[in-house]
Amino acid sequence: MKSLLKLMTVLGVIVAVSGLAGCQARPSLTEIEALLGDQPASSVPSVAATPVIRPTAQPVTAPTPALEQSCVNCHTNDELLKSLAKEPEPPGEESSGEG
Amino acid sequence: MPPLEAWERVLINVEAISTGVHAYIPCTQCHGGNDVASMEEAHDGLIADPSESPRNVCGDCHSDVQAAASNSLHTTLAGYDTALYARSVPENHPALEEMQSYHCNDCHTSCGQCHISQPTSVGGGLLEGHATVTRPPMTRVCTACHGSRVKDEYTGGNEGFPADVHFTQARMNCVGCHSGDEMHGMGITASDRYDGQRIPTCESCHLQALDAAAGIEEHTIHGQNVSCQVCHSVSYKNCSSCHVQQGESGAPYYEIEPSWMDFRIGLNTNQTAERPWQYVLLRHVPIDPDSFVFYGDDLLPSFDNRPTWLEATPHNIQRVTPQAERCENCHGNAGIFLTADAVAPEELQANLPVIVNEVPSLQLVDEAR
Repeated sequence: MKSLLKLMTVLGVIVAVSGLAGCQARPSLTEIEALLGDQPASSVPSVAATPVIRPTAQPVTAPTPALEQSCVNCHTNDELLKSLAKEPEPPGEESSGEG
Repeated sequence: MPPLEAWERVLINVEAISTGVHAYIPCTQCHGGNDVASMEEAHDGLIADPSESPRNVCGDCHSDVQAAASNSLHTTLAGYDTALYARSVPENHPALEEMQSYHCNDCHTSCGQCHISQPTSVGGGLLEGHATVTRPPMTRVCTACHGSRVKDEYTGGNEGFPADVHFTQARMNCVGCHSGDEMHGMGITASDRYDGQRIPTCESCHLQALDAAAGIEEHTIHGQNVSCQVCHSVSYKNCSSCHVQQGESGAPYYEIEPSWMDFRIGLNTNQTAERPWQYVLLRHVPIDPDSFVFYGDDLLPSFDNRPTWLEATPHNIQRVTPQAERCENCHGNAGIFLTADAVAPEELQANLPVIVNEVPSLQLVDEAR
């Protein structure tokens, strides 16, 4: 009788846990703000473009981890980059895209 | 968001470049320059966007993608040539190409300007500290360029007109419909965006809605005669009279008349097996006979060879629209068709192929029943 009671208790717990799991909130949809958050507001003035030519594949040389290069030392240092930056460029015309 | 500061555009995130296979490619292999401490010497011979033609380093490994992408409209901008050359003559092409080099060609994109940085035409700037972003973010890449029409229509930016239901209800971004295969080119040398296979298609998701078993009578009646947007779009932006020129300093700029919201059904001049519809939506494009007069007189002598109202697929889809609510909202309603009196007299000849001379009558509805 005790075994039967234990078995029923265990089954009850399983059913309860399953029920609770089913009641959990579904993953929410992506927030619209998250889709729109980073829209650039301006563009730089148009510049002359280079002609579009079909490129020729080049051989890949032996890999060297990028982190070992001196470029990374400067380009990961925001304070250094800020100090090197010129005066802010005047804001360009708002992007009209396809317009 | 405001444009990125100059320093922000080139700020690398160590974590971003420490993971993935790209971490094993040294900076100088793609960007040129020199691996030295001196800033000037380090930048000597630097290539800011090594994915630009003619080098395009991405193709060293991703040759299959690069081969297709080099012929995509994002790279070739062939759509401009198609539209301009149709209205011009070969002897004017050099002048038009000069114009495009100042006003059009910087709107193209490269591998890097979708997957590494924002497009140059909107100021550039690394997306995630030089991480390779597999699926480009909608606002910083796609609608950064496709802003004036697609973005405003899709997100509800046109005051008084609803956003696309795929945005408001499903929270879908651009890549939800427009796959990488489509963006990288279709394996053809496309002449415009309606060239080649029709993708994306509405029915790739909504196939059941077209089935007679769905019980949607309008789909059964109109399925092959009317493009989806005719019933499921609302008013969209139209432009006219764009004129390009250069300022005293040589800086290119343009002037354009204010845009307007309109909804016009017209004839499909590109009927194919995949695009069988008789009726499509038309949008007025900003071309004008004198659009490029700064670069030469009468550069578009064959202006009437191509309509100024062209097929459009507005990104403001709704399940229920005014024209889909009642038969008489379309049938007998000349106000939403491109009839001759809706076209500027000087553009009448150019638009004859798309003008609807006889608006579908209500009698057709009775006959169908």
